[in-house]
Amino acid sequence: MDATALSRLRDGDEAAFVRLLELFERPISRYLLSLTGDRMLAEDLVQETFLRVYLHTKELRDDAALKPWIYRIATNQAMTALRRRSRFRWLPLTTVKAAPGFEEEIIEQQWLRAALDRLPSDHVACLLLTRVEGMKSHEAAAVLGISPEAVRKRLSRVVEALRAELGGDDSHAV
Amino acid sequence: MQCEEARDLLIQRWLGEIEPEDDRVLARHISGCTACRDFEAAQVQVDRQAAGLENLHLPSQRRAILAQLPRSRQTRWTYRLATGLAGLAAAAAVTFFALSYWQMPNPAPPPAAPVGEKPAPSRPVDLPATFLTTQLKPGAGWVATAAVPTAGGTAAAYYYVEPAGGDRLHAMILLRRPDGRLTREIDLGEVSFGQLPFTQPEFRLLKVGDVVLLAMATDDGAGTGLLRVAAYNPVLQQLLLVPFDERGTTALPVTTWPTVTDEGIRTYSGNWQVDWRLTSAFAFERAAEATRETAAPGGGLLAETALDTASGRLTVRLEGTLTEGAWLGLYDEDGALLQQIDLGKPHYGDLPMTRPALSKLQVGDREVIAILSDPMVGQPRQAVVRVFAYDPGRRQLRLTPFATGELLVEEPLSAQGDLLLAGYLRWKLSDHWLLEPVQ
Repeated sequence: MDATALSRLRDGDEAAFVRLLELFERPISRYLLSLTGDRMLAEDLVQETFLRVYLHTKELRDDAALKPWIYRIATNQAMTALRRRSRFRWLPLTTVKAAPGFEEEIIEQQWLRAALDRLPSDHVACLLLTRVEGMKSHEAAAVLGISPEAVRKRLSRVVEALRAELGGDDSHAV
Repeated sequence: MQCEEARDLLIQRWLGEIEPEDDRVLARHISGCTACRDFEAAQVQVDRQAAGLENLHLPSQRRAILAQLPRSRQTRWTYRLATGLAGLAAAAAVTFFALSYWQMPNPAPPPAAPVGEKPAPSRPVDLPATFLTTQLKPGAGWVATAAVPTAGGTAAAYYYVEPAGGDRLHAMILLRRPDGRLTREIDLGEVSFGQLPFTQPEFRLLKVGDVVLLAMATDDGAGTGLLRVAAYNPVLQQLLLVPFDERGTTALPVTTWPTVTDEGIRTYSGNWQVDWRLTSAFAFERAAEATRETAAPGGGLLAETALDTASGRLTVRLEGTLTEGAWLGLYDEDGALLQQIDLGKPHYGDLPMTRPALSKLQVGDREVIAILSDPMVGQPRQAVVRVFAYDPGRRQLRLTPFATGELLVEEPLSAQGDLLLAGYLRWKLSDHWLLEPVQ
């Protein structure tokens, strides 16, 4: 969004807010759904996130920081919600055998979901922000309020954890 | 170079942030280090699987978000009118179906049609060769049922046994899209299987014009099944559950499969039968209702209470009739209906809690509305509790689910301080609109 649109947004211009929704609703929805693994919760969080964005745009000092600011609000909302509720978790797929084609793909997707559920949410956020949302380490750092080095360390731990779960086993036992 | 430093550089390379000189040093290290090569391979594997997350999406929340904006910050009515008209145009564009056919791949005997009911037209739907298996095998991990064609690709119902070898089943619907992507569309949560009707999930086809809808029935744990119907939404490009009413009810209690009428389907639940007209690909409209029971108990206003809110004094009424079921109405000071919540078809009987009952409780600084109703014929001494708290932001009553799921009680409810006393547990109303158990 350009500076003019942001200025109008700060003035409560609904048209400017709709434009912001056009730009960010889909990626934020995807991010929150990936982070929580829960459609209903993610829908609630999308609403809460953009309501906060609308109510607090005057607090945004640096126009260039709009994207990480929105992701930061979304992340904070998700982390708070995840702390407060007991989460559904998939149990280990210890007996699943890899099968070709359709079933294999399903198993892999479920394996990743299960693996993400076992990782700390802030680590999962690092992975999603960089590998799905395409952010650089300094951008993800701005979202999470940590240093770029800390982002890279968390990513390293995530890869290590997932590597250990893969374990070179055809069954994807986790 | 130590492996720890190499891992950091591998992450930098992964993020596209590595310096050329570091990249050369890293390459030399990796060529002689198996562990770091494994790490690099794991990055590729993670990327390959994370690519599936890029396809995740939710229905747009834009309308709900805009509806919640503070009025003082909203813009001119002309803009809202324009966006409203655009929304209407979009809705009109997708409203094009009229229900014509109902087909079942493995038909069970339908209930006897009432006298005078016109036989419904039917047409077989060819199942593709990808029809997999219909036998559930606990402990076998993934089990697929019929794969059915939809406008958006091939949908398949999958079960997952949890834990492996255990007796708990989770079910979900996946969609193989024409471009080959596989997306998880609908999660049916935990389902069960056994000997009684609908204790084994069943999937059938509903043919609507040229579109195949997927009908599902699973066990609700109370002797009835829950019917869901999914349609592929060409606008959102997603397989979505079709709501049965304006409140968004997507799971309907049924005791047998629906039959077909000229305009839609007729569902049966206990003594009740309801006709549904499919007005679009995305909504059922209640067409007519009747009962097969002649001895009808009385209906009308069952209970009433008032809520003091920042918006004024609101009235909450629990209303119901035999043919309509029970519903909760929220009215403003002028008596205008602000919100209506369908409570389904509670059982009416003479024993305690077999009629829906309403309580207003002060829990902490909030007033909550609690509804007790008995949906289970044959277990009249237990009731299901539903608690609604007034959400000033949305200006609506909002269901506050119990963290452990649906709660059955045998005792009346009460409140104490910040806690709701229900069943044998004390519950705290959390900020996230959830009732959490307090030890």
